[in-house]
Amino acid sequence: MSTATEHSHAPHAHDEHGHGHGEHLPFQAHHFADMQQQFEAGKLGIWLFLAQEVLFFAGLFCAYAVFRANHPEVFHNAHYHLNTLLGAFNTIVLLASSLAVAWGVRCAQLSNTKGIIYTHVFTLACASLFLGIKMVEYTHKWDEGIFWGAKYAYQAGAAPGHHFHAWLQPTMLVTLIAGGLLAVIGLAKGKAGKPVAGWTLGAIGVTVAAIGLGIIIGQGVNAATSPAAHGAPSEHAASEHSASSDHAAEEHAAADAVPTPDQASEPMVDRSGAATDSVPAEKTAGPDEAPAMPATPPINVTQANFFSIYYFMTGIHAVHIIAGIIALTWIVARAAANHFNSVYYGPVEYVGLYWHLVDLVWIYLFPLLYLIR
Amino acid sequence: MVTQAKEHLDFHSLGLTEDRRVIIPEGKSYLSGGGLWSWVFTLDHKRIGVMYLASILTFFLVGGIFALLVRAELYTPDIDLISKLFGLDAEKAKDKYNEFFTLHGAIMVFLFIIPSIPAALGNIILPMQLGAKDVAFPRMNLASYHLYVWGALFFIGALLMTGLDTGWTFYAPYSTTTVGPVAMATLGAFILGFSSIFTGLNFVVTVNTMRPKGMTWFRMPLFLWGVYATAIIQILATPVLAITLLLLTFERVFGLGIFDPKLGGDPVLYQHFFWFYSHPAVYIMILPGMAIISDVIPTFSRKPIFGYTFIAYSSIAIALLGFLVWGHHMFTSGQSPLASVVFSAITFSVSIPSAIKVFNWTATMYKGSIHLNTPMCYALSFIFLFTIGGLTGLFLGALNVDVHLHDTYFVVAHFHYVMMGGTLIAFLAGLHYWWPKIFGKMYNETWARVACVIIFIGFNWTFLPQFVLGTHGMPRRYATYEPQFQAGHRLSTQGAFFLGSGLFLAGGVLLHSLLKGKKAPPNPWGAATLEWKCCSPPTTQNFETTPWVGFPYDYSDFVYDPNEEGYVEVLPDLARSAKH
Ligand code: HEM
Ligand SMILES: [Cu+2]
Repeated sequence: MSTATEHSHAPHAHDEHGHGHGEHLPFQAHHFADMQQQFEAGKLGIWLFLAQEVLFFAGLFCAYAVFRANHPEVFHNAHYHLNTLLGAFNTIVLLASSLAVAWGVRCAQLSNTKGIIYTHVFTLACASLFLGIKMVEYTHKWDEGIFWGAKYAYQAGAAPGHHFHAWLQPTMLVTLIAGGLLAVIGLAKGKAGKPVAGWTLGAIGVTVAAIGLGIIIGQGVNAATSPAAHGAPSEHAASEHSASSDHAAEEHAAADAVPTPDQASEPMVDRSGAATDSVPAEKTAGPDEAPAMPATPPINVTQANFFSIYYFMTGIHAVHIIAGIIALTWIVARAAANHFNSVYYGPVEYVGLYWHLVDLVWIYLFPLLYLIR
Repeated sequence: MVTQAKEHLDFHSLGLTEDRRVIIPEGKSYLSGGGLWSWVFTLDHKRIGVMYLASILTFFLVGGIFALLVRAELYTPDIDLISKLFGLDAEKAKDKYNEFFTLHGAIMVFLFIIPSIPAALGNIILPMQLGAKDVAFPRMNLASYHLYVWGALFFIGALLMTGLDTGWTFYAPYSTTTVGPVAMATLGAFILGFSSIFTGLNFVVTVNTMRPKGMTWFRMPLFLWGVYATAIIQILATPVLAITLLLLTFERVFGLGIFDPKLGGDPVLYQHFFWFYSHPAVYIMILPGMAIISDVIPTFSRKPIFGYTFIAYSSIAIALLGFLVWGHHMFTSGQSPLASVVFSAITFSVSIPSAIKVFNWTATMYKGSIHLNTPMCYALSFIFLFTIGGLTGLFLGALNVDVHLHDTYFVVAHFHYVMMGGTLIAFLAGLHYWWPKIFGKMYNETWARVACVIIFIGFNWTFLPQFVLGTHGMPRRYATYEPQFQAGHRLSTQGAFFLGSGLFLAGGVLLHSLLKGKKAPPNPWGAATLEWKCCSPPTTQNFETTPWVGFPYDYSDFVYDPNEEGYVEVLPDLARSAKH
């Protein structure tokens, strides 16, 4: 929410005040002396906003560093649950989108409106592809009982009985159909001489449809790398032991079967309260029991903590992607209304910078979460 | 020591001619006209500032009521007042007590002190000191106020749901396990954080890009330097609090497992995160206070500020060093001893730039022509109280001493000397200083000064005994205590009510001025900064043309005019200089 608000401010102010001042250009706010000052203010503003964003994420990276430094083995084992191929694919998608956005800024500087629109619609498609693939990753893990913190219920070979993946198929169909429809309507509007409505609807259509495409690709990659990924949980359990040729399953099995020194003494804790033989003592002691001042209870850092960090970081990142989608769509609409040219292109550049940051965060998240050695 | 009415040399006795007077044209006040909507959705920085002012003062009142309830309960060692008032048994009444000090602290910190000077006074004054029409991003400014209101609503929600008992620090794992509406309050603080970030961002951009021609960095009024340094902290520290509180909220609502040891989390990590923000946040509170004092003292000493560059740089030094000392809140938390030693050492270095400022203020007054108007009275109180607060901070920063004093009333007294004795008093100085400009009305000097004296006495009466209580081992945040502490607590409670009456008097004087005050001249104090070069109250545009920029502390061209009951700027004598 905050992101979206920030974005719209600097630029919005211009539409409001701009009119009615004879000597001012159409998008110059009344309190700025000239376009140059306005552009510089906006640019410094967005850089400061990005500095703020970096510190926002810095807290999370810091938590990551503390947990990983103290428990490297937990992180190492946990990362086998992540599908590196999907992560890598998403990295490429975001890199491509960043390239497109940078290209779009150049187009704006050259007063090439069509160029702005095409590059930004492409970026929107990438953003949604990313989200669609992330959906596949999340549901796949949830079906295995891999949640966060207190909800973590994964046990090698056991079937927690979730079926989140059942939602993927309908979501895919709905997004593809609805997105396609919107795009077609947009096209029609564009043909009818309404470029703003046309391009906006078209951009939204592409965005929605790309989610469906992301789901298809995600499921495809998943199926190729791990047959267990979206099959029935029972199959999954079976494959865990039988599929010898399958790389991912092998890694899964290895990760869960070979206990590290840490896990040997304290096997996987089931935080959902379901039966395991190793529920630590402090788990059963409710807060309302007499405080008998025990010796400091052991703190068990497990894969549940890795996934707390994983879900929180990727989740916050996804929220930033969604905010970016809103901002990018707004740029498409304004570009279609012919607002941008070599004199006035600040908003294109500001949104572009924001998008690079979102991309950059992922560039760090990918190796830190998926490529642990 | 004189007040303006007794200024020795005035416009007429100097034999100045009317053509040398700088005329400040009257215009339509920014306050007049428009309905409710024209306020709620205004883009005028002054109106936004006035709405902030009204909001923070309301919350100051609410937080103050909780403070008086807490103090009243502590008049006697047992838990009696709250259980009688609310008809609760002793245990329930103690829970209520915990709620009261939590609400007091959280409201005062997040809803009053942090936005008080930057968002309320800063919003109004900063663009005018720059000779600008508005801040760089007026819409973001409005959004920041609306976020403030939303954050406040969450806090009110938590207040109405009752049971918030974590203290303003929300320490895990208590905050992740207690039954109170913690998530509601932390979400509120999260939203308020973004309000604060947006204000800071706006100010940095405004100062960087909208300074008028001739106002180089070292010709900026020191208020701008202070607010600028504050804004940097707001941008860089607040996001860390935001993410921390978000993690905490998720921990409570979804069982995330980052801070709660039961889930494998790390509660000391929470403290690191919290203080990484909250120590810099104490400078978010004090730097703008120091900034006001740096403008008030030279104006009422009729003498340029001493050591301008040192004061300017010391603001930046405080802002940067403030990021390196958070561990001094955690000496007893089990952080590594090495870290404690390092944090202790750096803590001492932070006090250097603060001390520089104190020396410069006193040197400014030396051989000045001191006018004891209300803002100056508050500024003098500030120097006295802040010095005590800062020095006791050094006691606490000393590692071994703090092990004894941590979580005692000594800490309570320390931070009240800096937050209330410092920031609040500076806020009152600023409020009385700019009041004529903001509302175009003068207040009754006599009663305003009486209020200032009552506040000064009441403040020391309340908090000096707490230093003694603390060194004798009275822990903070307890509803009951050993009878041996009663004498100190009694004094403190009496002082608190005396202090409260002083604050009510000050409020009454200002309200009276709004309704019945005399019209204010454009420059009642003879200050040389740009905000005094527009009419009182200003027009929506502030200035028709960008005013001429001189050194902000050069008072030689300002002469008292008894007819105006204010100062006028005098142009150079063109006729004479032509003859030469
Ligand atoms: C010379 C400068 C200062 C030094 C050396 C200093 C040092 C300290 C230390 C070491 C503590 C921790 C005490 C403990 O919990 O055991 C502390 C607490 C505190 N200080 Fe300061 N301080 C300084 C200035 C300020 C200022 C300017 C403010 C605010 C305007 C402030 C606000 C606080 C607050 C709110 C706490 C208590 C937080 C809590 O535990 O609830 N301090 N100070
Ligand atoms: Cu501190």
